[in-house]
Amino acid sequence: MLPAEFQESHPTVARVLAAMVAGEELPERLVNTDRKAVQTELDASQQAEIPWSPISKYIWEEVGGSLERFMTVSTQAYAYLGVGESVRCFMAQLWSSVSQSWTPPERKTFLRQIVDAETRNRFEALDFAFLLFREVSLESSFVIVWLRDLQAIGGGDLSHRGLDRCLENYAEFNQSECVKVLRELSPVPPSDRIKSLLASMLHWMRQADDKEKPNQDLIDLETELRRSSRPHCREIFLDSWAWDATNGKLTEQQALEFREEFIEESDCDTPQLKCWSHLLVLAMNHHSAWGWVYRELRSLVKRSLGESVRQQVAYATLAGWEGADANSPVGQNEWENLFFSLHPIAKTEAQIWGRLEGFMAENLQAHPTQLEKFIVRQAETSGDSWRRLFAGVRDPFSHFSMSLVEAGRGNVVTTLCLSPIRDARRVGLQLFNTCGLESLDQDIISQATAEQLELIILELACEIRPPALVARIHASLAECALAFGGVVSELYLEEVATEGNNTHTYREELKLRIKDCPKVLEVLQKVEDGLDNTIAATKSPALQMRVPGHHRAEQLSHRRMARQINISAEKYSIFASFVTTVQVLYSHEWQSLLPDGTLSPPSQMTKHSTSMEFPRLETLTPQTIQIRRLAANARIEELDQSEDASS
Amino acid sequence: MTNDSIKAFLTHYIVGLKERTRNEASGPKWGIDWVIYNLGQTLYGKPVRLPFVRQQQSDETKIKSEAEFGVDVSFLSSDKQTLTIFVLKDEVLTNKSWVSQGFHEDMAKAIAPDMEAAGLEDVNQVEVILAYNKDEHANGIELFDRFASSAPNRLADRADLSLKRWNLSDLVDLTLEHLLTPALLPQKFFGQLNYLCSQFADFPHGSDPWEQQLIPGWQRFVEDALADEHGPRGPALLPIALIILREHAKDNPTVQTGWIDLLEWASIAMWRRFLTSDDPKTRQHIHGFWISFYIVELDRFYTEHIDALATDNAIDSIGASSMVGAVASSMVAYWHIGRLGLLSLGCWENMADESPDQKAEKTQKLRSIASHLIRLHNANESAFRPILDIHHIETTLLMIALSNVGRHQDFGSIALNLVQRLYPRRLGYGELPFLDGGNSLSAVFEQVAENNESELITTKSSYFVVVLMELVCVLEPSQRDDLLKSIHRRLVLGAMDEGPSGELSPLNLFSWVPPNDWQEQVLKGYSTLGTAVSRGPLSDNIDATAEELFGELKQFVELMRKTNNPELHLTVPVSALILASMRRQTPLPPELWRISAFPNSDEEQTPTTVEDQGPEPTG
Repeated sequence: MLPAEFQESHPTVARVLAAMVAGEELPERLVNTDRKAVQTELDASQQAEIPWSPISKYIWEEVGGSLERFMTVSTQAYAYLGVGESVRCFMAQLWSSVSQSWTPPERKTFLRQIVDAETRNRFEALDFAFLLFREVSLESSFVIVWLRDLQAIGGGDLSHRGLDRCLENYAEFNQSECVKVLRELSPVPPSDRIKSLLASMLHWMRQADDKEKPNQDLIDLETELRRSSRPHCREIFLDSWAWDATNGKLTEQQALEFREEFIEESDCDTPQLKCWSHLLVLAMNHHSAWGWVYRELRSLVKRSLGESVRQQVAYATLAGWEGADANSPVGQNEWENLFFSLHPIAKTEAQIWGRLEGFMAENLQAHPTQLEKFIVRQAETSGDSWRRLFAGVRDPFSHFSMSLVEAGRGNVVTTLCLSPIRDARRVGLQLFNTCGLESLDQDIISQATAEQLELIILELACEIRPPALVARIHASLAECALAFGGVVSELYLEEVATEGNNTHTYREELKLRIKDCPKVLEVLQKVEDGLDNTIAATKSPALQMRVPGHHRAEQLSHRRMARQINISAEKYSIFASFVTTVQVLYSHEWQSLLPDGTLSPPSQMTKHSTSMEFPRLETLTPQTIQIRRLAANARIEELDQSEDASS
Repeated sequence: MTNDSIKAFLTHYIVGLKERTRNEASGPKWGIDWVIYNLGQTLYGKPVRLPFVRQQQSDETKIKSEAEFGVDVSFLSSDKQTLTIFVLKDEVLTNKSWVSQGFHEDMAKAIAPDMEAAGLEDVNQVEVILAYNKDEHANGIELFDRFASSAPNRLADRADLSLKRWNLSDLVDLTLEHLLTPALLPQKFFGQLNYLCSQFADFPHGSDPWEQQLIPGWQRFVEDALADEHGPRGPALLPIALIILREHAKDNPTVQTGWIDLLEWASIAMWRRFLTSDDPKTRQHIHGFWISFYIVELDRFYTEHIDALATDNAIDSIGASSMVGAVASSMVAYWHIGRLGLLSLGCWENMADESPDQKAEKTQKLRSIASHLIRLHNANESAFRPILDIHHIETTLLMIALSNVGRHQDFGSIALNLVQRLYPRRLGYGELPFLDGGNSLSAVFEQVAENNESELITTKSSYFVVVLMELVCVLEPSQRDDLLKSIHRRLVLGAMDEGPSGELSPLNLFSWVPPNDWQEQVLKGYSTLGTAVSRGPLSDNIDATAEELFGELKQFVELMRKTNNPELHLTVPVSALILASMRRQTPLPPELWRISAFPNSDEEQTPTTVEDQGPEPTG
């Protein structure tokens, strides 16, 4: 039984822990409530006050003294207690306490079980193992094999906070063995992740080293790595200092020495340059270093940098922008200019785009004015890649779009739509869609010139866009476009007719939004009359003939379309990304074999479908549409060129 | 088809029948006995006496050699109380023939039937009908009436006797009313036509079974009907078969275009027969069929349906759910353009224009067809989307139809639109391939349906483009020059409008020389005939001037004329030969349009001075 005092001080933790050990299922309703209580109890108490010995004794007895059972129970902790740092510390402490009674081989066996566990359990176990690496004396030979196996079984992926914490403890409390690990692993070119781990371990050892009595083995190892003829050894050394830069322990002078020593003038995308840029990024943590870091980054961007280095620079500059204030040695503008000197950012630079989205979304509330300018500048300099990113991605820039709406900054979309730069206009139209805006900002539209309106109408004509979106934008433009008269008005009404001919959705959406605009309503009425005539005409006996081979080709085409839909459904489905897809044959009901050897109850298949209206003119008059787009593109080019010339 | 024209063809058929169906040394003869036999069954009941023996294994009846006693055919009503006797004659009823051709003798025998014969015990009404499929004179009728009034009123004291006379008009009317079925045709064709009728009622025009079963069956039927042994009766029978087919398939939604399809295959076979027949009657029948049946029917069809075809996107809407539909709608559009073109050419060839009234009527008709064509183009993009290289035929017909009413400029506008729409396809943009030189619609369909990266259509040569360039040479230089340059730069060289020529290889242009016996060959349907004359692009220079291009083209034409100019000696109307070319997918001889575009110095250009006020192409 759990000690009474523990049950008294941590009633929920004790109850849930007991249920977890006993394998009881907690009702779902209780789980959420209990998790909050667990969090509160663990947060409130100093874990040192917990009577670990009787608790560990109780649990060890409950699992029948089985290492396997203990591992299995432990890896249920997140499910029962919830996920959080306090739970991690609690479980780590528990492991530490239980392991006191084990023999050294038992401890190693237990650690081996982490490697052999299922992926999800393995990550959870790693989260709880960090104290073992402090308290258990593990030989380098064991750790090397453990690490290699861990890497092999994880498909090379060693990026995990729990593992970092384990190795940090190992480096700090088993320094001499840790040095051996580095000596053993560094001569052979390791993988990037192992290299990074080794650099971190070197950094952790350096941090833990007693300044009064420095570890000679460590000093020798550092010297060997620094002077090694093997480039990857030097990278490990340089990268280890990058981590030191995080703590501000790296001086400008040291950094410059490293640069002189490791970086060639011609380096653009070498691993050393990557380490150097990494070092600069981490040095950004200290405002005092900004001066020289900014200077170094500026000189760096003059080179034709590789993708990973550009990524580091982008991270650094965005971090600078976010962290800059009136007292900063480098201001927001300077960081912004430095960031934009990297532009254009390619579509393939996914990491930069990901960071950028987060950056823009998170800073909209705090710095709305600056961010609006930033967004426009971003669209005008890298709009081509940005707009392409919208295609082929499920919910592209949804976080950013949501933030734009939440911050009430939808007007920036209108600004983008009226931009003199074409790519920015296209980004604006994409954002209008992803933000789900109802209309363009009428204040901004009322200030627009005839050319700006013409350009946005033409942009809409250049691509297939959701008909409801086109209708919403057309509705927002109606008043101004018709007020201008002349070319804009004619173009506008022509586009209304074309889109009206294209989809029913467009007509209905536009009619909903334009109730007092007779000209537009008249055009829509004409379109509908025309469609009625066409439908009547298609029933003519002169048009009932078949074309030999048409039916077969139609079937082929439909099969191809079905294949494409399947592929894209799998590509974009959230479920398909983490759930195994099973093709069910011959039935509309299914059962499956459960891990416990029983069959699940029968389930009915459910049907989910979605449909969209395909613009009819795309297949009805494909060439006219193609020519219309070519003409629109040509006119846009003409207008853009005249804009360039006048500016 | 109007009732009058059906009557006319039916009269023509019935008047050509003999009294009896029989095999003669010169071939089988079809008689009105078969018609009366089938009519009688419908109107009067069970046959009692037939002039022939119906045979199970043969598609021919066997004539009886027994004595007739004036009775050719007789029927007994289902209540066994009425006996109907037919006396058949394939002679004109005149004063002279009443005796000389046995009218009187046969009638006298017929009104004295053996009332004691088995099965006639209950007969209380006897009707004797004199049926003849030729004309009549008043004296002949008078003699019949006198004979009727002098005939006894009763027979064997138990049956009333009445006499009737069916002349040609009566026969036609009754046939039209009761016998527009395969049974009207000689027994030999009954089974075949009956089967075709059920297929026509079931198969949609253009469907796989239509192409694979009905058309081959119909072609066999037409060949059989036009066999030498049938003489001029074959050409007279085909319209009747077509009328019957149409009647049977009236509930098929595709009956109208499907019927034109059958009509065309019959026409081609007829013209082939025309070439081998020395019989002026047969040849006259064939001419009559072409003008009064095919051309008239086309005219009626387009008068009735042009409004639908000229409704915005009506043709484009065919199969509008995918790009495959775009190919299908283009095929339908070109089908109609081709027929309208043939109609125009057919009218131009056949309508009389001697008197001012005739001239005005002809001009009006040609203008109206040209308007139809322009309206169809204005309303449908698919009209600007040729799919196969063989569509040069329809484009040529279009040019001829517009040029014949002086609408050269309109042809120029259409050609310009055509080039604009072919240009992206030539560059490989979009899903539609460029014109398929192999003329394989299935390959085009497959490529568009699968949208494979490996292209099935890899056209490197084109006759269509050469034809188009030569056709625009009928235009005034002001319109011609830009078009020539545009066609050459965009379609031949595949160069962008601006900048260097790009990576596309130029098209290999080629022309074609027909064989001397082109008309025989094209009607027979040989698809590989004549000689292809290959030449590269007119110039390698993407900026070649119109003068240079025109000069090159003219030189090429002259060279072809000098070295290989066949003498075609056409006896069949050009419109019929073009129809055969369309159906057989064989190219058109270039001289058909070169005569206007590149007139020989010793020939004058076809005068095309009719001014028109129809719609203009908007494209």
